[in-house]
Amino acid sequence: MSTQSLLQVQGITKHFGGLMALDDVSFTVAPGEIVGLIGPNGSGKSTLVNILTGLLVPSSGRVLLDGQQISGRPSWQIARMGVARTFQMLRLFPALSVARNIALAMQHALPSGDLASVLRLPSARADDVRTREKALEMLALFGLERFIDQPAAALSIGQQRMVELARGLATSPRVFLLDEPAAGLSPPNVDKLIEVVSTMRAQYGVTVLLVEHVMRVVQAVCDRVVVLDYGRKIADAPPAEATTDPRVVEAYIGLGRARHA
Amino acid sequence: MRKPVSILLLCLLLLLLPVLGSGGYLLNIIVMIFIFVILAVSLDLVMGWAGQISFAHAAFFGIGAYTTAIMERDLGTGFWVNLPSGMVVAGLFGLALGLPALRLRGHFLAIVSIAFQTIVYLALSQWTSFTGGQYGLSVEPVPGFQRVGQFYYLALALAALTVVLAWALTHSRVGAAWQAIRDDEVLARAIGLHTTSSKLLAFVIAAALAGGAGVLVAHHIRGVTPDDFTILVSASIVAMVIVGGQGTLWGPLLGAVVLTALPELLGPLASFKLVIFGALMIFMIIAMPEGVLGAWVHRRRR
Repeated sequence: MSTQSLLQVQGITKHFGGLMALDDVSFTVAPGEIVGLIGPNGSGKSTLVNILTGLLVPSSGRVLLDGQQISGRPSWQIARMGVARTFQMLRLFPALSVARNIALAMQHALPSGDLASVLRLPSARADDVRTREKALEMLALFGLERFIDQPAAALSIGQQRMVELARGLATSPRVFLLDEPAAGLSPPNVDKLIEVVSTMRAQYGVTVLLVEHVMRVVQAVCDRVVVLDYGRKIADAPPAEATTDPRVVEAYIGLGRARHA
Repeated sequence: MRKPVSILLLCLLLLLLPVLGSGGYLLNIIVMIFIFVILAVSLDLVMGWAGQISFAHAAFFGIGAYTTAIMERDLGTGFWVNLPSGMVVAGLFGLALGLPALRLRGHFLAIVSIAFQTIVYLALSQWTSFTGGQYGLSVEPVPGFQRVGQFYYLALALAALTVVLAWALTHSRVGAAWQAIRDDEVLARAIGLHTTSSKLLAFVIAAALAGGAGVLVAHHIRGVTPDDFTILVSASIVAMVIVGGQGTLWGPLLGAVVLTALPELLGPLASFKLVIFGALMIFMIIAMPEGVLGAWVHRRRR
């Protein structure tokens, strides 16, 4: 079991005071797999993402990456262990160049240290050249090479989303966590996103956990989906199966509302 | 092409100024300008680059100055031993303050830095047996640099070294990480940057440089008194950084030059120096938040 799954979420529970945001959620992601994480608003997706990336500590349960515990660690450590992420609200350093945005994410893994960089030693310069080449290679995937020296804020929202993907991909992550990447994208850009996520796996063998509202994306790229509702896992199946599961249908349409009343 | 030429001319002028027979009055002011250039440029590493507010810079300045005065009195050591010592002592105080304080942000960090500044001032002024209290301590001139025309070159060299160091830091990965923390600390951490150690590095380097400036000023005015290192001095350094332009390197340098020279030009109005600094700072924050240099760079890019 542990040899086959790269990411293991084991019995994660999180409560905020009396509110149970996540209740004993467990699932796994195998290497090279693209797993969707879906659920209606307030189902606990964001809480889970925050636990996976170190912004929150679970009340109980744990998350393992390749057998090593990552839950409870600070986010910079989790990033260094190979979990890259994008943000639901889109997060880049707007004033910094696209190249700098990508380079900063690769910075911690460079062989030459900070002192070498301050002293402008040849080893640091060589690393900087390689970093830029890598950034260029990643931007080429999205056709954004010409923006490399532009400040991130000069790009459109769709392009900025792609830079976020390039930033994560440039670090050769073991798990890439995409937090609602289709949010705010126009339909043609959603098509592009689907294509890009598929390419990421085909060319770079990236393992993806995709949190998404847009079912079209989930259906097109995911091998499997985990469905959350009120903090509980209610389904874990291939997309076609999961979306016809009566519990999932209930969670997403009308019947769910009756419970609120 | 014109920029390197004008910089070269400026350097030449700075080198020749004492030889050209400028009066001691002018040279004394310029030495103070060099000292405040060190203070403003180093504080900018913390404020403008790493985005952390500190009103404690004069405390580190004072710690450096008192380190040399006390070492000279008790150990009999001279400037060249005391300069690195003052930097190390101030840097260690920076570490001791930064470790707990850098967990805080914005206003809270500002308040803690004010508290530290106040504690240091009280220790300098009240611990009479060790610091000489309100009367302070006297400090010997630096051998070989007794005349102001000689000391001028010492101060110039150290100010130039500070600017070079600040340039190298800000144009390296260290500076890139500072900018990242300043712009979005959560994102900086999410992409694997160890933000706490980065901020601490900025804080310690700035404190050590301020300590070096303190050693310099003690030997320049040949003594130390607590009133040279009050929160008003800290506020003046903050004003230099803000008026010149945070995070631009040359801006704080310009701010240090203008705000150190200004009171001398004001004549009898000089007693209103702090009122003018305060008004200037409020005006700048509202009208030109990027500072004089920041606004100028911005306009040229358009």
